Amino acid sequence: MILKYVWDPFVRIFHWSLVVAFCVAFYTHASEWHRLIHVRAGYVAGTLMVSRIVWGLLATGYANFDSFPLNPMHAIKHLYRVMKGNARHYIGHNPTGGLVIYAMLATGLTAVGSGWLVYNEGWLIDQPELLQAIHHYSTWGWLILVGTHVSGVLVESILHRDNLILAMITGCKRVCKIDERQSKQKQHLN
Amino acid sequence: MKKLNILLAASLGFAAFVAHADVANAVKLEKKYALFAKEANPEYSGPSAVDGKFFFNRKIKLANGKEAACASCHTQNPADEGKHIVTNKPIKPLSPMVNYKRFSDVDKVEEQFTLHCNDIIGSDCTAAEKANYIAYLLTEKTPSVKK
Repeated sequence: MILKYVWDPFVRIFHWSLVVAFCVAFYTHASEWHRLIHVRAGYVAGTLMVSRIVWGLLATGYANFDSFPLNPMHAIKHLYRVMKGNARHYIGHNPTGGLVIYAMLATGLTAVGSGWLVYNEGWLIDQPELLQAIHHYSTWGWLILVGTHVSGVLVESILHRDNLILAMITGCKRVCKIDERQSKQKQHLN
Repeated sequence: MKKLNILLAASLGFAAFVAHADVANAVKLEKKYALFAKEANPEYSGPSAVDGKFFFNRKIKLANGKEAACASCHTQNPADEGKHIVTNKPIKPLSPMVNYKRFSDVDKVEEQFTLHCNDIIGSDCTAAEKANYIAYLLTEKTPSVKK
């Protein structure tokens, strides 16, 4: 088995910190007793996502946004090929996964931004009802996207016989052998 | 003359807006909760502002050791601006007599009752408690005089 170092420490720490911040914010969302913890978890999540975007512009390799360009057409094509069983093996994010990543970043920032404004009521935009609605729907939308992300990870883990959850801890992913790639390409051509 | 007409139209429009900003929905909700309460307990004798006031000011200790009353955040006069005891953020007046946005939307009212009742008494409130609560809030019309 050939392993390739894919996820740098920043990406891995960012990923699991965001998971923790998301879970804390989700667990504490309903109670006024937990309001401060909820708000702080949200601020942490927001800071993490902003730094990930900066890192996505500055970093090299698989962490850079250039390595998984936003292209919904490619995302649909890749998904179709996954279902047909002749999808290409991407080492970093595949186009479908990348699309979900961008969607999660956008919804996540909307959720944090609207939550920030809900918490500081009357500040900047004095529309509490509208802001609450945005916060409500964007956070549930974010949760749905997280579900999509996790199911995509599980599907790819099974298809590529690689533990992608472990890969986000160690940073290393399995790389297909040359002949395995060629056989996939042949399938694709047929 | 034209200016006067515009002014009249504007004031009419404003009057319509103000007419909308009343407590009709809060009263409707109070009656609805009272109906449910009677359904559950035929001996319930209609919404009681006195019981509502007692409920509002009663400090309740939860199993997790937290203790608060509605008045802890909303102050003893719900016509006043409140202050969140955890975040210290200001809270707009709770009484629909002062803040017409309160108790205007049934879905929101139900959601907020469920969340706040869970926070304060550890379970959802009964329909009787909700009816009494709104009945009490409807009696609080005057903000305290600011010193």
